[in-house]
Amino acid sequence: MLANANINLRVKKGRKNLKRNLFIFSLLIVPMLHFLVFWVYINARTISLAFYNWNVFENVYEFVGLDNFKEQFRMFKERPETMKMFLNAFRAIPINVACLGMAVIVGYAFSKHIYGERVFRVIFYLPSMISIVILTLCYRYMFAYSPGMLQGPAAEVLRFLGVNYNGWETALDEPAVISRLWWLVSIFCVWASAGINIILVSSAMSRIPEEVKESAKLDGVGFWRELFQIHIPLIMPTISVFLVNSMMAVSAFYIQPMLILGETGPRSAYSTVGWYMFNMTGRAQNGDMPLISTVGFIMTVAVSILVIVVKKVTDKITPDVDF
Amino acid sequence: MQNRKRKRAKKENRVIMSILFVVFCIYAATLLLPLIWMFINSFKSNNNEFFYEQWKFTSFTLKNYKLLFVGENNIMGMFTNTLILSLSIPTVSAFFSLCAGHAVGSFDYKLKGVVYFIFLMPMFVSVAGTTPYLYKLLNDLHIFDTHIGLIIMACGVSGFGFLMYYSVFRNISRTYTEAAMMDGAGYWRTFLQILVPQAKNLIAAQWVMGFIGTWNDFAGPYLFLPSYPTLGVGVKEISDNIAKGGSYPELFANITLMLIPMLVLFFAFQKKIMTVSLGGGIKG
Repeated sequence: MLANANINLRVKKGRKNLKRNLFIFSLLIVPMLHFLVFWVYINARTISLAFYNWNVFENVYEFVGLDNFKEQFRMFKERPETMKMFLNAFRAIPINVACLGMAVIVGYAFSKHIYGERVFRVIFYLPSMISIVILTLCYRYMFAYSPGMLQGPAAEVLRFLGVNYNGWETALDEPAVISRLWWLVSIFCVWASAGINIILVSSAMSRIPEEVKESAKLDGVGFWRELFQIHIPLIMPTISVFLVNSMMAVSAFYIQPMLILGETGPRSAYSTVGWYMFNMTGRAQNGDMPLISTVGFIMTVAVSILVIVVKKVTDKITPDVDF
Repeated sequence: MQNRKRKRAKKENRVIMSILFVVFCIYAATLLLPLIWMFINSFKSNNNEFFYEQWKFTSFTLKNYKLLFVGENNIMGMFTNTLILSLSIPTVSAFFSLCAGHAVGSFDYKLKGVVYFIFLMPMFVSVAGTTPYLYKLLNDLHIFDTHIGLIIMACGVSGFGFLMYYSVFRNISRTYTEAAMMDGAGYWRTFLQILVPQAKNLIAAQWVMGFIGTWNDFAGPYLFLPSYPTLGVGVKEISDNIAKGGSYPELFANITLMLIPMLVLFFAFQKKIMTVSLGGGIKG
């Protein structure tokens, strides 16, 4: 009798477990399939084709080992302009650092309750709500200068200040123009990036205990010293996450230069790896895939190394405090 | 001595804060004025009027807004496409993130660590140059250029959303589940009727963020939904036509139309949006 009940209980428990496992399975099936198809398969395919070449005669991919990489590095040596798209992609790093710098200063001013803090908070968040297409258009028209046609307000201001500014499209391949246009793109990125970064930084700063700030005030610590010796070290974990993310964003850096300089077409002086990938999407034939994969692979390796280095360095300079 | 130092620091503080205030005002102006500029000029009747008086209501005509609806731009179609995507994508993404969060956060089983690791992977590893393959894959699955394709792509669980829901479910006491099961509710019912409502604030905020993100997305619909342009893609197309003599005021009217829902959402959910972009208070 007792033994019977025991078996019954075990069967019941087993059935319950089965039911539970089925439930967990049904929760996970779609996300897992998605992961397998859109992450594992896509990534494996992308990486593996870097080691293959398309055989036009037999319509198959042939394994060629490291030949694609050798070819790519030979190209770098012989035609340095093929390097440009990689180098341009890394422009995203100083831009992101500038964004971070701005976010830190603004967040710091917020944590000190600058006059009008609340209004500024709302206004500065605005760009995060607006489509990048609209923001870039806005920016382009602001800086447009074609006499008799559109003379954008920002261009007018520049000319009023005595800058010899002649609008967007003049002699695109001249070094001076290239660097000027890249400046305009960089300024745009910083200008439009404020929103979320500021919120991230200022919320990290708001977690710094009041006593620390108070004691700094009592010691008569100056404005900049408080920023560099108290606030920045204490929000180092946030900064580290931000920097790692911005390293990972390098390979996806294209939408700002593309939308701002788009009419110039993808020229080597302005193209980035991300832009190249965007252009190849839908256009690439089987034969182009190995090159795409090779470029992507080189970029992935470069970015991974950077991420690890940045992580190591920021971990080292992060003070070991908990609050 | 200490006192003097403190006074000096205070004075320094005040000077720098005043300078920063002025800089902030200028920055705020550069953010607001272009929008106002576009808004004003969306009521101009033609390009010439716009070129010569950029800051005044020289004429007031709703022609451009009317043209958007009756002209050849098919803005209603774009609007519908944008709305379909913006409503469905955050919904499926929230649903599957909740599922994954529940599966990892509320139960103990052998492979739990593996599952947890898998969902965080995309956060740490990103491979460059996958979009051309994505295009091919969508083509092979016959979901390229369909709304379903973009929606299916959103069914995944991304690192950040997953972490958020995971921590929510981990913190919900398991006695809730046990009590509900005792009363005869099944697993699905307990999940959907007892547990999910407890995270509803977070879900709502995430959903709004997702809505805004999808509404504003450009690359996704541009690459994978070419036959059904969204508002963002449409704005880009109209602006490309301007070089061939298109009308600026018309473009500005289009932009205004695209902006208004976002601004309304922003001012309605401002606090929520601004807190959820912190990542729900994840320490770091």
